[in-house]
Amino acid sequence: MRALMFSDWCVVKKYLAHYLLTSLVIGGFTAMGNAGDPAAMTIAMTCCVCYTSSLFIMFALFGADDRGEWARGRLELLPIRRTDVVRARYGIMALAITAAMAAGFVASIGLALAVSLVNGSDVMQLGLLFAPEPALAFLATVASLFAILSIQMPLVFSLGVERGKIAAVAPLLLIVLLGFEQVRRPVLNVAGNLASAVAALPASVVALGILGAAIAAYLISMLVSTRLYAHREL
Amino acid sequence: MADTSFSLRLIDVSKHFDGFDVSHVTLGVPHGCVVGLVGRNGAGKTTLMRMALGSLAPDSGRIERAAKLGAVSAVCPYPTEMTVPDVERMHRLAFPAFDRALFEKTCDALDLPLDRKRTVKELSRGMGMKLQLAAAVATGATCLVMDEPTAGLDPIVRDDVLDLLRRWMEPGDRSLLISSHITGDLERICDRIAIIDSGRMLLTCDIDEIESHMGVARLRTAELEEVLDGGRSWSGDGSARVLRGDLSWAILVDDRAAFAREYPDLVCDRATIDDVMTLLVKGEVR
Repeated sequence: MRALMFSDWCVVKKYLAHYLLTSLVIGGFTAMGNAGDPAAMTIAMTCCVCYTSSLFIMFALFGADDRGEWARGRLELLPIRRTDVVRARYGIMALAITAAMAAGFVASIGLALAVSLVNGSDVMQLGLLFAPEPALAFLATVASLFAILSIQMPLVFSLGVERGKIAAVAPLLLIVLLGFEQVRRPVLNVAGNLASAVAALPASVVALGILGAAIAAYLISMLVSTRLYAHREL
Repeated sequence: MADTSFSLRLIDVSKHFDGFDVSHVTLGVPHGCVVGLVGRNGAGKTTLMRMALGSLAPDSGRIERAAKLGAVSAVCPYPTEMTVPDVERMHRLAFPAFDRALFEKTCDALDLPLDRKRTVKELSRGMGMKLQLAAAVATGATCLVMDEPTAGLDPIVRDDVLDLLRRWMEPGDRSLLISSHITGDLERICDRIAIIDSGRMLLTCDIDEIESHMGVARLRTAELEEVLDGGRSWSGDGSARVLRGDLSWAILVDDRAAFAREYPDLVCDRATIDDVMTLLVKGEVR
């Protein structure tokens, strides 16, 4: 499995600078909408960089599998099973999300400091990042990414990246569905009930609960991917 | 119970695809033996190799692997972003017994530069094949499964590769399953030949049997009728394999010496793998 993660790393590192730069530019533009508030800037940019980088990396890795003959070749050249391929990929994506979050955070702090120096806003506001709300935002980002990948990865493992392009938009389709009253109303009802139920709980417990649920979904998704990938004709 | 005289054995394996089937194929690679797999494009060679290596599961039949397998495929499968040292490191992580010195020695012997910056994408087809071969040898594999390794290589590189394989086989406990369209390469290296067509095994025999015993007689129509009326089956399976050419007929002869004794006036040439394959695949059964 270490060999698989290493091969994935080789693919990622080739495009890392490109992906990070693109993510930082997108994140930077997103952050500029909150230029007067360094803490809000940092949160917006960190979450944006984390999202874009993670999704870039996922599609780069699955693309490398299907380009050439690597999806089949690795099973013939290395002493691995298909289960190992799935586990390694879920492992490296979890690491990618964490690393992207850290990279986004560091870069956004830098940007926030630079903007504060230029427009004279209060740098001390960055201290607000250590309040519970920003931590909740970061955790919610990580949790939502785990949830999105939990839907996307089984689709791509099953269909390959070419046929599984729909996986890229599958989670977005769910959001589009919320535009329909018939869907939105029950979802909001459930969300409202959930919010009322957990209102009495401390924010940290709620955040960890959300993260735990997302990680559980990610692990279940890994099992589903293992099943689907076992039957895929390579 | 597995037959221990084989490094690799496919027993009665079948695999169904839309429009193509591999049906009840049995193929063994004995220890210390080089087995050449020949057949037309789409005959089922790669499917058999993939089943042997485990990347494709047969619908029925079984596969016995008594050796440590290494693979070399026609197309270098590593991610194009990896460099040559990356490939070496990945194998080192996957195989605890990976012999780095042997890898470097093999690369050197095959003139494959260990350039730190050169990516798989930048390697030529020949270099990609050499890289796979060097890695497979260094993993400590005792049976190599090579799918068209010499396809697209110039004659000098092909010679280098065949020499290396011959040297690799020298200890005597190693074996090799190799497919190729270049039957001249197979004649130089193989101990046994298996001919496959349309997913069915047509012939499996020692290469000596082809070179020393089998022949192709090129006959006029009257001569062919005389041979066919002679009552002896020259294909060894109760029938005769004949193929009409522009001016004559070719008939596959399983015993060249016996044919010469029986028809001293007719010419029967030594058969090549190409002759045998052509007559088995395209010839009529009489």
